Amino acid sequence: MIDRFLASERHEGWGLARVLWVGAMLVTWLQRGLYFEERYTDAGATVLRSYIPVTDYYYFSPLGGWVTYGILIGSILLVAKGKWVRPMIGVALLAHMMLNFTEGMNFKGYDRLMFWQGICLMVAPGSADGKSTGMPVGRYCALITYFGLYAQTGWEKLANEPTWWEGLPLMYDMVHRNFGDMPLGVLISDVGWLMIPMSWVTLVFEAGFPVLWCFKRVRPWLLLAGLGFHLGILLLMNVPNFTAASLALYPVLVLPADYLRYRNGVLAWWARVRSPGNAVAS
Amino acid sequence: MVGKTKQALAIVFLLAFAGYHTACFVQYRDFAKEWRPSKLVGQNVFWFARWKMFTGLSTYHSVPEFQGVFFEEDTQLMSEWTHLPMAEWYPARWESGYRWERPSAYGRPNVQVKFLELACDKSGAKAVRMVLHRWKATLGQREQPRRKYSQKELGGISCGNVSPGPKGVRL
Repeated sequence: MIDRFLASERHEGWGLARVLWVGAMLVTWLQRGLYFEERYTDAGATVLRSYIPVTDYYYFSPLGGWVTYGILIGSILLVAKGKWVRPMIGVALLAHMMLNFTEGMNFKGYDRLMFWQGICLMVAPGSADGKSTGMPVGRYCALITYFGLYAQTGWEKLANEPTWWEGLPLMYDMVHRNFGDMPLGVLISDVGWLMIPMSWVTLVFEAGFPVLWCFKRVRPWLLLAGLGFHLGILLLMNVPNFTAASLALYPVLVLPADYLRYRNGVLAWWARVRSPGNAVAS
Repeated sequence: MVGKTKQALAIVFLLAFAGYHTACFVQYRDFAKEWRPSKLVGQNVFWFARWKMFTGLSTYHSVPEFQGVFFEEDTQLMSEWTHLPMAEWYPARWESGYRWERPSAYGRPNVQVKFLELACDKSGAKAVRMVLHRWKATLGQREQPRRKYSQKELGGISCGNVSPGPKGVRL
């Protein structure tokens, strides 16, 4: 049974997943380069936070902060290029953690998600390029991460916030001064017949994700719903980095054969869209 | 043999990975209040795979503001509390707003004091304080009139006293 569970596979989705992860990291960290010294060095407020009070151990001067930032961006670019992928993901994750822990106030959920995704990429076969064969440990780790991500937040909504059934939290999130306030989101925030079903869909998708994923026929629709869910968040709320990070490992949430089938289907559709005449002729 | 060793390592790794994620989840949901994983190691380490995204209902806007009092040479008196433009002085923003807008910033005195000291440094005030403005959100429009408005003082300091700095190595 273990032989079957750990049977070697070649999952071409890793190549796309690596590119998407690099994109999510760059989208996140390039923005943070703006006013970097205020955010991560003692030119701003150096705070002592609970959980892991790292400023008792280290904190950054502007120079030290910029060097660490340079190492982070450099290592991400090397991962993008496919050079020393595993060690460079390790370096990127170390710098990512050091900066986030020092800042202390804004260690976002998607920062932690990108950390776990980095671990998944590190244990993926070869250079996480989709060309190597190996045990599916990285894919299982990605599944565990996404099961936790969606199930925890969905079950928490079901258990502790009954107003989700009335659509209220989603409605008020849309007009939140920071997380919301996007034109379309604000416009629909008081449209009950739209917001209430959207809340229900969110609950079913998040809380049901680990269970629904187990049904092979449902899986592609579930992941398509996830894609729509995150793109909807991108359109309606002001959390773009979360969308980029959440979708990064979607390509490896399906089996290798299914990934090839879906990818080829999308590529064929794209070819038809680009040159309809050829498709008709063939 | 190598294959079996690799398999064994893979299983151990997956069990550790899944175990940690499950521990974060169990603590998160507080299924068993008497079992606190944090007690096992002295501090909470089961939060790194814990996610709670836009779960709670919040129907109010909360906006902290920095205010300062100044010594006025002309009158030789202290001024009224005056708005301090912290957003201009420290413009870094996250999706959640400015650093000091997070409840974890103004809700913890040892964190809040660092931002109050920044306000002192920039303003030259004699004393600074944080005030929280709160009002009911209005659905369906970007304009958010201050309905059911309230405000409360979150804490303040006299400028000149400096709190202890970080103990760690400055890299």
